[in-house]
Amino acid sequence: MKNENKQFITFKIEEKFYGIHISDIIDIYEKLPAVRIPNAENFLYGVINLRGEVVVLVSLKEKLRINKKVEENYIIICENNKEKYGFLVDSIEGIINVESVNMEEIEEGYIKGFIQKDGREIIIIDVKNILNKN
Amino acid sequence: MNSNYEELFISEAEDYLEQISNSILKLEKDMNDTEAINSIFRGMHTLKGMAASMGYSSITKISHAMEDIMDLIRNSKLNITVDLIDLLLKGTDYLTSLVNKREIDENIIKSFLKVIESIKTGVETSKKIIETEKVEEKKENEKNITLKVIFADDVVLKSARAYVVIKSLQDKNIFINTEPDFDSIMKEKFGNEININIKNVKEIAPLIDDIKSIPEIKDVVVKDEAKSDNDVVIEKKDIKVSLERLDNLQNYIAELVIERGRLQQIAYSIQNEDLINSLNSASKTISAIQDEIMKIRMVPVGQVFDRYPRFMRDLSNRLNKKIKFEIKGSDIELDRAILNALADPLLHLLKNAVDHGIETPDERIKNKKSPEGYILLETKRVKNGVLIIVSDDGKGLDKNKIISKAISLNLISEDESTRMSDHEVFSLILNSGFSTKEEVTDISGRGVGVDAVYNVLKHIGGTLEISSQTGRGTTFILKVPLTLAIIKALLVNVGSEVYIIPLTHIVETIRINMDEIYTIMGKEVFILREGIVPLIRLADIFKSEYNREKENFQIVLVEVDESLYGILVENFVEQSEVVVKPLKGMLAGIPGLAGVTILNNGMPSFIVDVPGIVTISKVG
Repeated sequence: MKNENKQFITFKIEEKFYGIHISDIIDIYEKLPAVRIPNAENFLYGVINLRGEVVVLVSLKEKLRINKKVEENYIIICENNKEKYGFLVDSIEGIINVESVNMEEIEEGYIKGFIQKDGREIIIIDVKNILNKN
Repeated sequence: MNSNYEELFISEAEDYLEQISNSILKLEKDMNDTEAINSIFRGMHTLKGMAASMGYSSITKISHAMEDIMDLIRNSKLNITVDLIDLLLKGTDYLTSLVNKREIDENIIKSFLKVIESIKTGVETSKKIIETEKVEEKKENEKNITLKVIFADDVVLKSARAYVVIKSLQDKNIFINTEPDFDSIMKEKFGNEININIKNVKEIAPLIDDIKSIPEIKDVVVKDEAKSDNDVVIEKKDIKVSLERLDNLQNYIAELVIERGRLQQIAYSIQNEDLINSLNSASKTISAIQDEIMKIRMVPVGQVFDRYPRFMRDLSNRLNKKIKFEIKGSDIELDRAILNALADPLLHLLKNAVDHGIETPDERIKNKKSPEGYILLETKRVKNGVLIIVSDDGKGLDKNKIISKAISLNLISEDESTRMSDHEVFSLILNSGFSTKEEVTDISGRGVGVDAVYNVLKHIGGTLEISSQTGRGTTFILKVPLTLAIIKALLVNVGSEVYIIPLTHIVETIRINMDEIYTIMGKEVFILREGIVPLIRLADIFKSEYNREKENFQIVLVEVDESLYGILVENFVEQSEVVVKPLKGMLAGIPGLAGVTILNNGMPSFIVDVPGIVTISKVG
């Protein structure tokens, strides 16, 4: 149980490492063709057809105000209020287990905290806040 | 107790209570309405039984007491009075609360039952003797049974066979008469079947077997009891299905319809004749299922509207207004989900009509009108949908008040207001936060006005029109689609994007050249049959990239609030049926979009909110 609770999927956005708690994630896909959402806010990248379901893609780069240089290649599907959303990320790195590492918890906006692992910093994203807070 | 049964009980009990309360209201209007009396009696009787089997003792007691009262009325032992009607309505209210699991103080129930008990004893002591006689008599003729005897198709001696049947019943001493009468039967003046009325027997099955054993008799069935019960008794062959299940079913079919489109595209592209043929026949079946599900979802609007009369009665009493409320076309059918969505908005319009529309009797007399106001809720079938009309003969909307309010809200300028037509002025109240009646009453509440009604309509793809005449009254016309999920639409493209325009809004399509577009006061227009039509470039509304300088474009002519607009697009892709998925979560509330769907090529595509883009084009 303890181990399960501290597993994160890690991925890269513009050369930095990020993580999302594994229990927040439903699925991961390679990027699918999306349709632009007219008159929508910038961070709403578009909609895709995910097995017959229309799913909104959220640009993490827009949300976190990161300049886009690299094209995103993957979609991480999460769920919020029974609706599925897809986060666009550059590449998927893997799963980390942080049993022995202390997570630096901060309750600030879209970021839950930081983890130091194997000499690199991983930024943990707060899925709920990203989807609910503006 | 299993919660499934509980749910079923609640939903059925609600149906019965609705019918009962409507019958009570009918009875109030016409105190000799025996049909209404019987319907209340039977409703209470059924409810009592249902509640008893669920172990709900309070419901059982109250419905039992009310059944007794109705029985007295039915047998002319108790006269109907206004007080009695109120008592019946009160009882119905208690039952409704109890059914919906709202607790009622036990003392209230006790005192209610006491009142009924005192009515009963008052009647019973004086009329006891007559009663027993009548009950006997009733028992006799109530329990007759009608047997339908069907003869074989190739029967040789029809009369003889019939005689054998009748004789066997006579021998058993239960024969009463036949239809047609005995003489006609003997003269062979009947078709392949006869009806025989017999006295009640304990067990009917052996009797039927006896008759069936006579040669050349095909079948014997017990005929249904008199159909007079049918306004309360729910037919046994009907089953209740939750809307959620139907929604699921419809969603699956929707997926299937999308998949069918994709398969057809593949089949045509590889030109495999066998595949195309087989797909075509599968496609017909899918359409049939789709059709059937749509029909299952359709319910008469009366199912919801029937609860309004009671509400209107109480409301007009409370506000000291005399109102005749009428419902027309309540048998017209609408998708259950749409009907549910409309229930509250309509209630709101009716509240407004009572509260703000109809004047007090004194005021009406002063204005040389009948003291009794009139409110009509009418449903009509039209092409592509249903019209629901709420009209009153009250004082009408106050044009000047609307204008000054609109100016104070910065919706229009004073200058603009002088140029506006009545229709345009009335449409102003559709803007959110608009309400002309300054004071706050507990009836209409604050903040929710006609604009809330309008929003619901927009959400389900409907429209709302208002007309009003000072001193004559106000009419709201709601146009709603028959069904939500699948609509006919035109697929259009701008640049590389495909959008969907629902056919309900489309008047016609036109091809237009660049040089036919003019600019008047900064707005693009074109001339259509000597009229000036505003032009809306879909690409500008949606900020799509496209080639502005093309030689010619296509125009989709739409009608919104009785005005025409031309939506300029690059090309028409095709006309098609699309499955509407509502905009949820982050997609909700994006201006100009009404829904989303998945096209045959597997890509999502947005459905255009036509009234919405007209509004955007006026503001922007």
